[in-house]
Amino acid sequence: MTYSSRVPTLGLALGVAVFAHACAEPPEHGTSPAASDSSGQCQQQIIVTFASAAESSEVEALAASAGVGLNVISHPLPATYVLDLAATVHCDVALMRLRNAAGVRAAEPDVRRRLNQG
Amino acid sequence: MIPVRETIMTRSFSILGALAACLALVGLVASAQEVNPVLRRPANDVAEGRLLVKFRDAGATGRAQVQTATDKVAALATRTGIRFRGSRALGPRWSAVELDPTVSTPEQLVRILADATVEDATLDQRRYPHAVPNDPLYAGSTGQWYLQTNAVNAAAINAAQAWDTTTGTDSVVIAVLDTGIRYDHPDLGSIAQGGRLLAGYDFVSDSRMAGDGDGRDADPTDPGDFLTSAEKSANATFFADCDVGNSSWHGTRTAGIIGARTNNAQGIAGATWSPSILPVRVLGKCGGFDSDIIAAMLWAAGIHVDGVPDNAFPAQIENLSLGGTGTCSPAYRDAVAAVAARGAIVVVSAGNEGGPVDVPANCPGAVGVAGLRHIGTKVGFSSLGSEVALSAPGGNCVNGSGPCLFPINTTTNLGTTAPGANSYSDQLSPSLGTSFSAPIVSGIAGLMLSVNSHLGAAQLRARLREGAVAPFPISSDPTIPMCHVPTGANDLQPSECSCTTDTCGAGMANAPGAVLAALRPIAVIVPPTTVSPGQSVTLPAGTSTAATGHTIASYAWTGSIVVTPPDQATGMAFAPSSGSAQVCVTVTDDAGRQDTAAVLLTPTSASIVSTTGNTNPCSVTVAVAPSTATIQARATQQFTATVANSTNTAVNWSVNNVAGGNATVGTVSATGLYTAPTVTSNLVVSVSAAWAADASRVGSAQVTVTPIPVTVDVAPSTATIQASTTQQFTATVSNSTNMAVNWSVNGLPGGDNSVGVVSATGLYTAPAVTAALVVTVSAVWSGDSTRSGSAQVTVNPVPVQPQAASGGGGGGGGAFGFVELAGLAAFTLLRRRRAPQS
Repeated sequence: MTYSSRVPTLGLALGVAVFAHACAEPPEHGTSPAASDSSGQCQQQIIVTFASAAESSEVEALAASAGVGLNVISHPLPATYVLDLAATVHCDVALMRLRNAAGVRAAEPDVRRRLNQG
Repeated sequence: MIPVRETIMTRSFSILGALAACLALVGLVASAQEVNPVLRRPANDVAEGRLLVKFRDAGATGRAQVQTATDKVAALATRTGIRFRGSRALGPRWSAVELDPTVSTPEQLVRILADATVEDATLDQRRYPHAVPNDPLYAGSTGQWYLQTNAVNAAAINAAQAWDTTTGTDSVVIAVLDTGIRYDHPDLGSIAQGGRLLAGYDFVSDSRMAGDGDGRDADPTDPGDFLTSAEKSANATFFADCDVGNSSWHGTRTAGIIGARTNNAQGIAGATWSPSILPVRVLGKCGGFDSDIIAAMLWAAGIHVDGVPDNAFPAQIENLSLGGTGTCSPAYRDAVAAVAARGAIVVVSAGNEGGPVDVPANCPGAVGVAGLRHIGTKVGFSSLGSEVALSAPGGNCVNGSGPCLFPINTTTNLGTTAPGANSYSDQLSPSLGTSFSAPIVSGIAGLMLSVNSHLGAAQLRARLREGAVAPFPISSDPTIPMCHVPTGANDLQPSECSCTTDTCGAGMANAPGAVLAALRPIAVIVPPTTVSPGQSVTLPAGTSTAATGHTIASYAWTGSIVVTPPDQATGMAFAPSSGSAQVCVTVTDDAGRQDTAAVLLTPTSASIVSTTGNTNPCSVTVAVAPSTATIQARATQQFTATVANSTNTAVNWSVNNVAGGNATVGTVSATGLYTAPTVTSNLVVSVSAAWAADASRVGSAQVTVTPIPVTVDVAPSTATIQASTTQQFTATVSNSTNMAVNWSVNGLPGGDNSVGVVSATGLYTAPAVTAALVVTVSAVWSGDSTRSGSAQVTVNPVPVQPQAASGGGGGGGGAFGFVELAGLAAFTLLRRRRAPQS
């Protein structure tokens, strides 16, 4: 199931602020391989954790409020969803919208982890 | 728990038919008895009749006597009513006692432990040579040093000593979330083939990473996690941040450390010999995604995951030798919590960047494991920080080239891409990394659960830490720094450093210490759901449990508001009308091992208080403030004593165990006012407050008494005398019985002709001068040359008698002429000295 909606495009200032914040953060060890393309479109697998147990209708509402597309891949824990994120803005901007949405505890890329062998 | 192998074999019975079942039953019974061919301890080895008793420090009890060991035991016998058959001193505080054979050992143990003079008592058990497996790659310095005694290499976990107690049981399931497994390795093998491996599952959902042609499936076999240039080119975006490389066989390596088949005269030994291993594949080419790892964590613990058959053999331990940088996300946090709620613990490697602890090792409740060198210092690559629970060997080579001296030898495969021959890593092909520290700890946890299946995730984590060896060794090399908590992601410590408990956890993982901690019972108080001010509350502790094969022998309730018989499984207390109060129960099992649970009561609520080790937060304690002080002789210092957990706050003060003190050590009043004695050098004394109701509850402060500084006064302090005359000075030394001084003039001992001389008795004789001269006469204390007094002396020339006004020769005129001549001579001298400048 895919949920999508359109909301007014965020201002340039917000985008600049988001990118500046992203640059200041140390890079994660491995990233979600599919992310924003050169045109600024976003397609990325993410993990969203709600503040409390959430039904699929709340994912739909989240997609609408953030102006992004969210496709449920799995629902491993009551408050946690693995989702395909599709957006017409850069992935960092889309994730920031999701994080700022009411009832969302965290929205992070589905990061690749590595073995700890020397 | 149902033994895993029993369940598997039971299932096969329905397939093989009755005859096969009967034959298999014979084997089942045999395997259920867990014959250990290397265990040299008799099966019925029950310690009875002998105890090791540790008496409290005489100083701590406030008793100012020195009792012999025999006296202490005799007094103990009188107080407890136990007729000891014999005793023998083992040191100033320990004695071995033979108990009364007509009374049960547990009963006598409880009575002895309750005595105020006894700090500890334990069974005097018989010991045997350690179980040593016959696996050829186990022994020796080139073998599995990390499992061997820590007397040789400090970081080794001394598994052999723990194996004397348990080699593990197959009802314990340890999940290995990794790259999968080589079922065909002869030192692992599936359970169906007599090995250690359960069926498991493959959670790698992306076929490009999986390398087995599909996504998630029921086969966790490791096909190899190699990445070729062609694969990377074909999926450039997907593998953008990935390196081309060979297969690691990582899961086969970590699984071998936890549970290679042991004592099978082949290959290596596992940290555990019997627990079952659940391979769960989460890593493939270039790692694995959080979404797959989290799903696998849940499934391994027995939690349903959509699209995957439920796990028939939920794990109590999950080993994750993986991670990445960053903070613990809520998704991981919730996953660790959900797994813990199922009773399973998550053991995770700290990371190999030498920086902050990786995700998910840094998640609350996870057991983050840092890596140690063989000597117990942090190995350079290991990440570190406050989230580390404890540390274990991670492998270190010492040599820059040639054989790696301290690798973590384990099972592996020789295939560079697809599987090849099964093999073992060694000094020439070493396994290094915190990836191999974590499974060492997982193995220890497996041994712990084998002796106490009641341990929950939090208890297992706490007792792993309790059993660890601390403090960490400090490197003898002065160039090796102390480790520090990373200040940020870029604060790396990629070289060896000396661990602290802030950076490397509670200590060095230790198998026998952890098993011993696991053997303690588990005290439980069920708090009431409703509490009313001043009303009685019932506190059931009957769900407390003992380790496998043991029982709870007694309950002891403590706390200022306990009102019920203190030896019952259910306690009763009154909720306070205001403030809060703690109630504790200490359970003792039939081996004398103890654990304490505590509840905090407020007027309207009751909540569990976490305890560490076997500390009893309800014990009456006395604290003296300030805890240290430095005062001068004859000065005073006010101390205060605070009695916790009792309404009786009366204390008795003493100095160096002398009630009220004395002139030698100083005195202390009934209100804690200490008066220091007269001293000539620094004196350190202990000012103590002992609880009036039980003198063994003592708080102390250390006081350093310094002498009053010695002063020297010289009289008169100033004097004006004529040349060649004398002045008697007197030196007075204060605050010392040593009055001897040495005299000097202008710093010259005894002076000289130019500044005058001073005798040993202070008689100063001025020199002959032609002009006024000011000198300093000093008396320097013979006990300390920095202590002195001085006087200033002005020496005037002898006045010249004036000559007769007629200018004729006369006495006065002669004198005047002398001054003039002297002035002329001086003028001439000045002119001569300046001449070269003109």
